[in-house]
Amino acid sequence: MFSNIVLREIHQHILSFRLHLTMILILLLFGLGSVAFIKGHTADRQSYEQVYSTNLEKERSWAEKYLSNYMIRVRSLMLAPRSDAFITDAKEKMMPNQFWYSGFCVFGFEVPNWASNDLMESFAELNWVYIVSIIIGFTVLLFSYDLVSGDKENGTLALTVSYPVSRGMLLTGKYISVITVAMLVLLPGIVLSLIILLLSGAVVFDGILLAEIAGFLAGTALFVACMAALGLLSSIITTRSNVSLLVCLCIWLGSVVVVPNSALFFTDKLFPIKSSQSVKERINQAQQAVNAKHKAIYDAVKGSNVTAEEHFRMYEKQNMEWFQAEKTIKDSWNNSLFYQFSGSRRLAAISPVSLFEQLSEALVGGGLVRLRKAWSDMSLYQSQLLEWFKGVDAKDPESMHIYDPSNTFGMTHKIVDFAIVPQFQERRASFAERLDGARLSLALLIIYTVIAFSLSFVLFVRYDVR
Amino acid sequence: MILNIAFKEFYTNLVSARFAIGFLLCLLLIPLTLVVNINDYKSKVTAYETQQKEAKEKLKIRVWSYLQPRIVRPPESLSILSRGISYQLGNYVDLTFTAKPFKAQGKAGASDNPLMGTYFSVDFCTILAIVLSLLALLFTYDACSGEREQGTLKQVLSNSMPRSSVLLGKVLGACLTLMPIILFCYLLCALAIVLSLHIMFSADEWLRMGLVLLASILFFATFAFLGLFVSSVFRHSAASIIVCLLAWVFFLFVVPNVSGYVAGSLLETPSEKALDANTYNFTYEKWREAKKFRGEQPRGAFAWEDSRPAAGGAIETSGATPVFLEWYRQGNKVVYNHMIESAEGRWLLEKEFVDKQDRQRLLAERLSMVSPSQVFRLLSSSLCRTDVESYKRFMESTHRYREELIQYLRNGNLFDSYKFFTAVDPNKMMNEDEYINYRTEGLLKTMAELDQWYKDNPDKSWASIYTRDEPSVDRASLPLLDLSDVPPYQGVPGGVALSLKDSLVKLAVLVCICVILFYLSFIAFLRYDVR
Repeated sequence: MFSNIVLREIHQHILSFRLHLTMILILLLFGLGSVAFIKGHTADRQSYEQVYSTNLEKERSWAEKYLSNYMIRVRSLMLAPRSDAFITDAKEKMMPNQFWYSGFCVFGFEVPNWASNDLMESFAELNWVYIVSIIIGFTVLLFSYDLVSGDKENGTLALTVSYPVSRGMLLTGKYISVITVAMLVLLPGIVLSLIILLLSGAVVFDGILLAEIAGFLAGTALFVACMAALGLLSSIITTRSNVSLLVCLCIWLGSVVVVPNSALFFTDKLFPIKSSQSVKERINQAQQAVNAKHKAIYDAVKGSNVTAEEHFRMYEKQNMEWFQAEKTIKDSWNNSLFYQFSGSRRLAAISPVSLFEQLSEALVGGGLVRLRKAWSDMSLYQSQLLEWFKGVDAKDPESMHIYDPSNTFGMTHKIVDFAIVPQFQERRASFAERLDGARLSLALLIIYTVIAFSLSFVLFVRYDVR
Repeated sequence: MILNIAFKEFYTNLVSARFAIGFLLCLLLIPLTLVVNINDYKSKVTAYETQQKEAKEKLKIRVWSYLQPRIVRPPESLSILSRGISYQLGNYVDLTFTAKPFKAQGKAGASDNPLMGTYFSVDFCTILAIVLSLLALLFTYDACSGEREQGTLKQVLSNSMPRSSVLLGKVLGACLTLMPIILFCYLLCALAIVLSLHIMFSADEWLRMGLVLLASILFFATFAFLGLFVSSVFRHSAASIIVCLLAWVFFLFVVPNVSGYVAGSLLETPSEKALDANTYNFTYEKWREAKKFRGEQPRGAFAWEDSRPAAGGAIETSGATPVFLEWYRQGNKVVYNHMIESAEGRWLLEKEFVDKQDRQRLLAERLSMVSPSQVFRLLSSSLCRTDVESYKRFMESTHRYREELIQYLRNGNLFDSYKFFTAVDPNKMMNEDEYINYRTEGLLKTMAELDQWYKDNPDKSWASIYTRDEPSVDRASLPLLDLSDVPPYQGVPGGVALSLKDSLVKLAVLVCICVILFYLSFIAFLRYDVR
């Protein structure tokens, strides 16, 4: 009996005009998005490789001069464009993805200002998550706004309820059918996109990518379920279908436009951070204090017989403290940046659309998950590089083993083969890390769905069908 | 008679749920965006004031080579209506002799947190575009198909009214219904501006705001015609609402992003990293050439007191031997002429880059003009001067000003004066021997003795022989330059006429779309089967 209800509903939907129209729109967008992705990704890849190889050449020339020269130079490292960005790019182009570091210190991250055309208004990329969150989310509401109120207006609801079927089953049947239909609308688009990607050869399909796609589909099903439950709820609490439609539109506008766009404003009020100007000033002050302290030390030894080595040791201390002063302040500031950003995400979690975006971002291991991982890996790499360097330096009898972060006087001037210098390798987030990033959004999406559906269940059981 | 129908439509709409909800939506969204945008504007003003203060500091100079004024672009107060691109671009330019301004620097109003770049903020015009178009469609989607379903259309058309009058009446009715909402939104906005302590609108700005209001009415009419058209093509109101809403999502949420994305992949722009490398190499090459003009540094020419380099390689010395000062002065004229010339060459590289970016932007804009809402947004950002054209105008004005400054320095023969790089009197400076005598407190008398000392004590640090600090001149006591003769920065030309000129094309496109849709709905309604 249950399957009868579901099948009947699906049948009705499949014949409907709105389904065909959406299907065409979705196919169009998926096709266009994939083609544009392939072009854009190839170009991004090329420019990334160009940057990477010039950087590498520069580093090689430093290392080939002598190793300690390589250690003290400040260099940048950029994260590679992800090849699974067709699922979601997680707005990585607008996020920091460049690190500044030397062998002695990791300085910070920044948004590369050359990643995009700044004369053009920033726009969202047409990837799977965008299409699903905007178009499918909208369509699901369009499919579900008149599930109950529409039937009531037709007069069919009274007839259906008069069958020996429990109301709960009827509602569940309607609900499941909407989810199924939405997924059916989506599938041809995804298949089309996959075919285009496969034929182009721009993306290598491996196990991880397939798992990511599966995860995306599961996330989509959950998102669709959430939106459908909201649509269902609105169709029950209103008596007329056009009012229900208005309520649905308000829900959609709220979650697509209002919440994500006002998150910035409310975050600044709720999770304030120090201004970058004041941080700069504090660093300046701390560094000046270091300089003043060491000026006194230099003055004390002036005129006495100081050996060059003792001088180098003094420099080392000063420079080390100078770097440390900056690093302590910068690190706490960077942490506050992450804290503020996580806060903004929690604010945006009111909207199921934002939740879905966060969920898929974590599933593909992009965006914030990626940045945080790369950031901590970077510090790890830097300390390993320093340890390695100290090992090499220890073997050099001519070196004074003075590890000054900005002068090479006291360190080995031997030339080392650049190939054996450890290089930073970005490691992709593991399954556990991705799941950890997705935890909150997953839980909230499920909670929203369950609340909306159980509320509509209760209300439908008490519904007046007349 | 047309008015009768219009009033009837007006009354039925007025009591409907959609009017109430639309009104409520505006009541919620408009104040929110106003608060957000006024807040953003405030932070922009703060940033502007800080920049201005720094600009003033930058003009307290003692030597001409430090004449590198900072030109700050004042924030556009109409940016609370339409943000346009103004929040993505910098707001000041530091002029130098060695390079033409390429890009404005500073991110005024952007969040201090680089992670927050992933959030967008919407402005008044965007919210208005979203809500107005939605309401326009909701008020008109069932104008024909809904009345047909109810059976009232037959009766209306059986009167002696021509169909065209009925249609006009319906359009007027929808516009009448929406007028209170539009006016209410603008009144809220005006109220916020009047009440806010941070914004003062000039007459010119009120006028431009009025133009934006006119544009939004035109925009609303466009979507009303779209709704009418759809409604008179479909027989069932259920179908027409679906088509209307999908069209709405397509125009408002798909087109802006797709056009940017597609333009990005159709017209590639070279990466700025590559440009940086090119310009760096170019400038480096030019500096090396320039260095040749200085010739060999004669013996005894050295500077000790802070030859602090500023941007563009300018230096200010307050302690150097007379030989050094003379040698440096002689080099300057040739070197600076050469650098000013080579700035043109560097600019060619940069201009090509900017032009490519601009072409991509234009393509994206043209593609997005498929959607009336994008046309409206572009139109309003032109009127509010937050668009790229206004930015380009600002950059051009800084280019002109730089030429004026160079001309001024050339006319006064300042490039080859001592005042160009030092504020001290060269005749009062120590020569090399006096300097060594001073630093070693008389221990060594001449340069030759110092050389000998280094030879004798190879493992000793210089600190053990230089027992006295460098002879320093208190910089603050040196006189500042009088800049009252220097031509002032003229600012960017303004006026309503200029904004109108910028927005004319977009206005024409919007009118065209409106007329076409009106024509289509007219034809469709005339041929509508009322049964």
